[in-house]
Amino acid sequence: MVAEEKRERLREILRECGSVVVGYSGGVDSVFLARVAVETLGRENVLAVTGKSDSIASWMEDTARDVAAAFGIPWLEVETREMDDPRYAANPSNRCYFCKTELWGRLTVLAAERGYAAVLDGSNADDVGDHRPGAVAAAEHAVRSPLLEAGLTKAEIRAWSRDLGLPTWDQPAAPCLASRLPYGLAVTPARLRQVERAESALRSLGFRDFRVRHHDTVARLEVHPGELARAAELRDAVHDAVRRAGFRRVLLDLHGYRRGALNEGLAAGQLVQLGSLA
Amino acid sequence: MSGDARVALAERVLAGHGVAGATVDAEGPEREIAAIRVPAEDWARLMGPEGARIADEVKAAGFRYVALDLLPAAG
Repeated sequence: MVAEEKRERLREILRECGSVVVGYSGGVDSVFLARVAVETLGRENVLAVTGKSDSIASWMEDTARDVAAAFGIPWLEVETREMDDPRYAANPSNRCYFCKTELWGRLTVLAAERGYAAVLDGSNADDVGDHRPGAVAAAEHAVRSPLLEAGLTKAEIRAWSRDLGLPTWDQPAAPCLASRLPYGLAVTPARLRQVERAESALRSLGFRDFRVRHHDTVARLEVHPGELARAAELRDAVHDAVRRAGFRRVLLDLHGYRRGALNEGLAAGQLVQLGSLA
Repeated sequence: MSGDARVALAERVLAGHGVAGATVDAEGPEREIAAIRVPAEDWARLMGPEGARIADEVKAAGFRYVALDLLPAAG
């Protein structure tokens, strides 16, 4: 259930913007934002743009394209080149800053060239307090976050998405593939392909909410605590599937999947939290 | 604390919980993972809340992550 005041607040923010480019990953939040933007502003005032790179899983790209086609969302794909930036590839704890600098830089130029008044992202109220160095890049490019501004939580976005018939309403969170590599381990196309291949194999085995964490030659699987027993039952299949992606050893984390697990090793001074930015 | 001391401590934790025949080694680029190998018959008890509690104690030995090797130890 989403309060009517929040719904109207989101529409108000969109009307204030007038015409928008939406950073559109194919995830729950950006799909929802693009859909509501089209409903509120009309197709001619919305362009959803997906950044295509090695760090984006191909199934996300497929989702972005398919949902845009099915729901009449004007859509464009642009190639982003964050992998060419050695500061990104070195995988520091603020890696997302360099990736988002590339993305928002491309989208703000695109918006200006095509006459769109604002660039939007899909940050929401539940993202406040998370480690989000990419939010610094968003602020530097004057990107607005209407879902956050309207105070919409993830649960509310999922509920409203279901009302709208969006197939993404119950899609698990799906950050970029580089988020599977511990900070300091270089991001390379080969490592990202390993993660994508292993995760695709696990999805084929029926797992939904999980991560394959890439620790160089070792894969550490985080599966939802409710699916741990099943992972143990299917251990041979899981082991073989992940090994085939090129890992020497396959480990199953006993704490299960939790959001931001690779941030657990960061000192407080390394955290850049959304909501605490000046 | 050295890697070896962490491993020995982690193995004592597991033994203290009655997980007989468990072995631990440090894995990952920074040796940040306690990689546990246990006989297959011990898997079931490690897959729930008890496993998470034991993992907390192993983690406290100085690891960032605690994970089970999907190749079981010989029983």
